Formats: sequence, C-alpha cells, structure tokens
Amino acid sequence: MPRISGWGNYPSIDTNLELFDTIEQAKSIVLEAPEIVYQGNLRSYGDSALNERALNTRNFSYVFDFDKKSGILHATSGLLIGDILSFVVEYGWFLAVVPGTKLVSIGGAIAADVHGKNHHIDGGFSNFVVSFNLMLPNGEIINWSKHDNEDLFYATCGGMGLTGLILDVVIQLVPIDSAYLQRKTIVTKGLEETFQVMEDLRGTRFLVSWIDTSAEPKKIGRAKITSAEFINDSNYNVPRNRAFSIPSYLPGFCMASQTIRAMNACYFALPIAREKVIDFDRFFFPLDAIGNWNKVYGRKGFIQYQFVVPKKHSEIAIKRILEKLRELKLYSFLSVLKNTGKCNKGWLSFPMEGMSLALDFQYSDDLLPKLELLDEIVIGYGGRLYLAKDCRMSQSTFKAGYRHYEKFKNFRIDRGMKARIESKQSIRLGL
Amino acid sequence: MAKNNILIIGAESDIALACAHQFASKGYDITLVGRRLEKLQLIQRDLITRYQTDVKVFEFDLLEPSSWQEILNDSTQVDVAISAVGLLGEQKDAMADFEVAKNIIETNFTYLTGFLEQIANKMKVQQTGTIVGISSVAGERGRGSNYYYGSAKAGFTAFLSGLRNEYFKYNVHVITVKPGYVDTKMTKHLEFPKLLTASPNDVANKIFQAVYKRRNTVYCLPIWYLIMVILKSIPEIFFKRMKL
Repeated sequence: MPRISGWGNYPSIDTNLELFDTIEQAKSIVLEAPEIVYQGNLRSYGDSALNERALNTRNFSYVFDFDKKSGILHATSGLLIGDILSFVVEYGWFLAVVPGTKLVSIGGAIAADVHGKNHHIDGGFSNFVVSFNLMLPNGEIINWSKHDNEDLFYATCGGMGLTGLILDVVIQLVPIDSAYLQRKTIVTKGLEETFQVMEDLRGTRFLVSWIDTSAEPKKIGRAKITSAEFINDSNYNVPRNRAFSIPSYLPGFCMASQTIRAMNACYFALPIAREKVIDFDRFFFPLDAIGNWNKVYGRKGFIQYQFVVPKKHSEIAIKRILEKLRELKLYSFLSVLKNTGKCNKGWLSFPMEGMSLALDFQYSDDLLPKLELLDEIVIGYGGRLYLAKDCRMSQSTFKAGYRHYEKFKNFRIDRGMKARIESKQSIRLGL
Repeated sequence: MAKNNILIIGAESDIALACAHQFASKGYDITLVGRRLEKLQLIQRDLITRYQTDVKVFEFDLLEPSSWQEILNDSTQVDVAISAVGLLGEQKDAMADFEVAKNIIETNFTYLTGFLEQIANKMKVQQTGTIVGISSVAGERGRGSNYYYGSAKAGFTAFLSGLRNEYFKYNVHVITVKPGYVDTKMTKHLEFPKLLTASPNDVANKIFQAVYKRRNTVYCLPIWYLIMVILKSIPEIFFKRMKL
C-alpha cells in the first residue's frame, strides 16, 4: 500500500489507492466505497486530499474538444494545467488563472478554486468554468452549467472535492498575443513601501512580491515586487526549460533557520533585471523547473501557511505577523505576498479582497503551537487560511474564517455526500 | 512526405498512452490496439484534438487470434510497432492455480510472440519497420516473488533477440526495452524507491530516442543495468538462499 502525502510531505498516510480511466470504472468505485477521498495530482500541501482510501483522477486525463476560434476547452478532471498549456499556447490561448505550479489538475484547480498572480484583476479559477459534470456518491451524474442550480456551483468551487467527483469540465480560455511577458521588478526597503508599490501597481495584470521574512526590524517587510503583462509579438514558441530534479530528500538541517536567513539575504541582494522579457513558463512556474523541490525540506516535510486578510487591515495584520515570526524565530524562504481581489461566491473559496501571504516552514514538533499564535492574529483581523495548504488548523479557526461552513455542511448532508466523501481535513474541520 | 504510422499494442496501458502522446506530438499517425474500446476512443479523441493527427482504433483480444486479422489486414504501412502488453499477475495465485499461471505465460509470451511474428512478417513485406517490445528486468533472473511473470518475460526477451537477428536482413529492426520500476496502474499497489522508478513519460521518451537511434536493448534508467549485472553475478549457491 503506498504511503501518500500532499506536496508538503506532511502528514502522510498509507492509502488504498484507486485509479480509473473511464466513467464506468469511476462509477463502480464511487458506488462501492463506504468512505473515500477524491484526489487530483496531490499538489495541495496538507491533508485535504488524503484518506485511507483515495480515488485519484490522474489516469482520467483526456482532452475532449478545443475550439481554436472561441478558446473553449472541454477536458476531463485529471488533465494537468501544464498539459493544457502544452497545446493551447501555440494557438494564442492561455488559462485565465494559473497557480504557481502547472502540475495541478483541472479537478484540483476547481476544488481549491485556485488563484494566481492576477486575482486582483481576474478572480479565481472557477470564474472561467462554463460547465462541468459531477458524479455524486450514488453514482448519479449532474451536469452543471452557468445559470443552473447555483448552490451546486458555489459548493463545488473551492469545496475541496467534497461534493462529488468532477468528471469533465468546459472552461473558457483567454487570448494572448505572445507566450512572453514583460516583467518589471522593484525592490523596496520596508513594509510601508511594499504596500504602497503593490497598491500603485494594482492595475497591472500579474503582480506578486517575494518578501524577506528575516530582515532586521527596521527593514521588516522589504520585498522584491514583480509585475508583468503579456507582450504582443505573436511569438508562441517557448523552449522547454527543465533544469534538474531533487533526487531524494535532503537532510533536515539543510533548511535550518540559519540557512534560510542566509538564503533570504542572498536572494534579496541578488541583482535582478529591472525589466525583462520572459517566457510564461519561467514567469508563472519557476519552481516547476526544480523537480520535487519540496524535498529540500527533508523527510519530515514542511507546512505552507497561507492566509488572506481584508484590505482595510492588511498592512497592520501583515506587520504583526512578520513581527510575530521574528519573535518566534520562524523563518520562511518562499514568502509570497499577493493582492487579492473581491471574493467570488464559492462557499469555501479562499480569496477575499485584501492581501494574501504564503509562508513555508520546515516541519518540527514545536511548529504547530507557534502556528496557532499566527492563527490568532489572522482571525483577529478577519482573515482566513487556505484549505489547499492546511493540515492543522482547528475547527474554531476554520469557522471564524469561513462563514458559509454551516451551509456547506448541510448541503453535504442533504445530498448524501457527508460520510461518503471525506478527507482527513474534512473530518478534522467537521465539514 | 507521407506521415509515419505507429501501431501501439496494449494501448490502454500507461506506458502505451505516454508513447501515443510522444509519437503523436512528433507528427506520427497512430493506430491504437487494445481490449477496451471505450477507453481507446477517449484516447483517440484526445490525440486528434491535441495533435491533429490521424488516429485509428481496433478492439482486440490478444488471446483470441481471430481478432488479429483485422489489424494485420489493415493496409496502412506500419513504421513502428510498440508492444506494451504486460500482465503482472499474482505469483501466489499462479503457484496455487495452473489457470492463473497459464494466463500469465500466455499473455506475456505465447500469444504476444505469435502476434508480433505476424507484425514482423508484415514489416518484412514492407521492407522496413521497427518493433519495440517492452519486456522487463524481471526476466533477467528468476526470483521467488515473481517467477511466472519473470520467466514469461525472459522468454519474451529471448524471442525479441531472435526476432532482431532473423529480421535484420529484411531491414526490420527490433528494440528490447527493460523499463525497471515504472509508476503505472499495473504497479499502483507496490511501493518503489523513487530513485529507481521511472514515469511512463520517461519510458516513452527513451523509446522515441531508441527508435531514432536504432538501439537494440534499452534500460530506462541506467542504474538498472548496473543492478542487473550485480543480480546476475551472484552465484546460485547464495542466490537461492536470498529472499527476493
């Protein structure tokens, strides 16, 4: 029995893994299983796709149709974002929303309602879903399309796969005039400036900043802010960039706090071109070039802590978090600050208008109580944590952040989803 | 220039699917042969949409030679044929039940070699062609844990080597692929060390290169060559005592 974990390699559990490649096969597994989790390509970090029994969509990976004129794509849930881009880009189409890795399945992208560097402009992945087919635990297949039963859509988008098995999806792609982007980088000296620049650049389509979490107090919040737009040179050819792969887990001490502080200092000091034309692959998915980068955190794995706080409190909340990190001696290397736009109507969808910060921490036994202290700050300012990254938040933290949880839970009970579709996370959070 | 055509046998397997994508993306027309028409048609639609290539499908049962004819009679030239047929089976069941053992051997060896002989013949008439047989490192030396699968694959490896020798003079080339551990649905219940495990895409890449370079025998990960040299060099007096 394989031992399966999310991208954070923590936690991991022995799993009875089921695969399917036709709807018939899916149906027989769905009907037979007393309790099962539906999982995509396991790029969520924590336990949202884990359970003792899992139905994985990776073999249900087919393109049905692609209309080169309208940019409408019809494909099954197991297809990866990278698979889509590998053939639509040359016709001048792109996914409206891509997360930081192209190894996410379409089903997973809807289940987590993933967001990208353009959430402040375009919103989440689900905004571009035209229709989908969903298999309920009783084997019934429901076809949802825009203007149909809204509850099903709002429950499913961001619903972490807990409403049924997403079989196939129709999505609207967006036109591009090049596979290349013009990237601009600005280096800031502190949090106030970081926020100012992020606000000034809100009109730019793609905007993200890397923040130095181990800067000394008066430089706290200094950042490298990257903004980008697609250019229009009609060049759709992108060289395949595949650098190397981390072959095995590195020893845990490799990402000890001193190392991270040194890496942060180096990365911040590293000169970077202020303006550069860069292909989409390297702009959106730089970490995919390092296969299994998650293994640098060692066998015990790591926890990615991502929260969003409402706009009116975001500067003070993030300042408090950064100070708290310093106080707790928590250091994160991949610390990403993003503007988020208005939340959509997905009941468990993560983004809300404000700021989101993602932090990576190597797992250790004393990490969990420290994260509780961060939770208090996030909730105190009306924020919430991202379910796709979570493996440890308490029910009370969850309920404070997601006000529709009761509606979601009742929906699951009414439709016979509860107890049939469960993840370690849904059980922990009482979903 | 006419497009090259590749025939993929056992097309529902993960390695076959990866090969179909690999060759379709390089401009090949594809013929898929397998047991489940429903799945073959899903793959067909996908390949056509993505690569705008011609894709034909044939439903067939390897163990039913009457179902071979339609494929053999098809007039399309077969430039490359890949056999991704493989039945791992349950060693313990095979030891207890002759029917299980027979099925493992017949699928991996008896019927498969019979079918490939016909394909080789077809290529002989064409005076060109490459056959890729996916065998296994399990055939290098019999082990207690899987000697039915292993001995069938050993036979298959020997068959491929003979086929290569016999058809060389007709400009028909034969490649033996020994993938080692591959992360596929056939092995989903097993847990392999990651360093020794290839993905179906890795295997497909290797096969594509091997076809172009006209290689004879291919290990997907070079480390498997080393492992097999070591495994084969252990004297039987020790080997028989090992738990393998």
